[in-house]
Amino acid sequence: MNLDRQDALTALADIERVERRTWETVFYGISGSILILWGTITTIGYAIGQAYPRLAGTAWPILQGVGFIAMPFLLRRRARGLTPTQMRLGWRLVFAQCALTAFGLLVVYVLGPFDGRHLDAFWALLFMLGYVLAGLWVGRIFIVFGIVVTVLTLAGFWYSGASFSAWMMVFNGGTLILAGLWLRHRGASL
Amino acid sequence: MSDGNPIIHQATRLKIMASLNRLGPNASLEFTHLRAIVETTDGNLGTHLATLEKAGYVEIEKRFEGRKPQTRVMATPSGRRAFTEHVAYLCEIIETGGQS
Repeated sequence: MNLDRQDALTALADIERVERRTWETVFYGISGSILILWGTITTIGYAIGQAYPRLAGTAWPILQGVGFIAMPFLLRRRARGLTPTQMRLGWRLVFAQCALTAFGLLVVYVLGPFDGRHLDAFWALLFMLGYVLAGLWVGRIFIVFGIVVTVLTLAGFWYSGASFSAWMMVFNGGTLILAGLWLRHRGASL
Repeated sequence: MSDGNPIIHQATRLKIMASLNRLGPNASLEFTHLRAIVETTDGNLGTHLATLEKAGYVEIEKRFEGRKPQTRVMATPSGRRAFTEHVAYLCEIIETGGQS
């Protein structure tokens, strides 16, 4: 073969770009399923909060528990075929979500008590911060998504009145599900 | 200096191998996703996949996902090895700054 330094540099740049796009496509496929899971959980949680406000305090920990139990199974099923390095990143994101949850519980414990409306907004904003931070490593779409839901959450917090849980059901849970479906459509299954 | 691999070095085939090599062993990508990643047409991708399959660098599997036909592509161990060797060759050119 007759290649010069410039040809080699161009080829390596192509390889790097394709590797990044491949990882993005695979990651979208996996995270789409996880978003649908959490979207469904939050939609149910906010629906209970709107219809039976007194049950919300009991329902949320149960729903969160279901989510945390289901997530590793989902990750294992959807992420078969990843390289060990990619798998480690997936698990790091799961641990990051656990860390965010622990941080949130400590904040509620130290700074609380809060009313339901403040708690609903706080947890949503905390997890959207997680999406924005994760987006710095795994793709800008998560930053956009985190910011959009943050703005919608704040809008609902200030302007939705007594229908805040219903607002969050639609704009938080619904957006998570829609984003998850879109990511699954864009992403690859292995 | 080791020799480059003319089969792999062609621009589209290099992208195909780079993409498939990024996956873990035994993982495959669906044709349409690979087409989007490599940014090419169905026909072009099909032609280059046939070349790579003939060289033993990829395996192509056609199956049904429900009622929808699906074509999945996977790098073979020898394809991964050939790609890794070709990348090493490219790095060698850059390090030596010379022509090969």
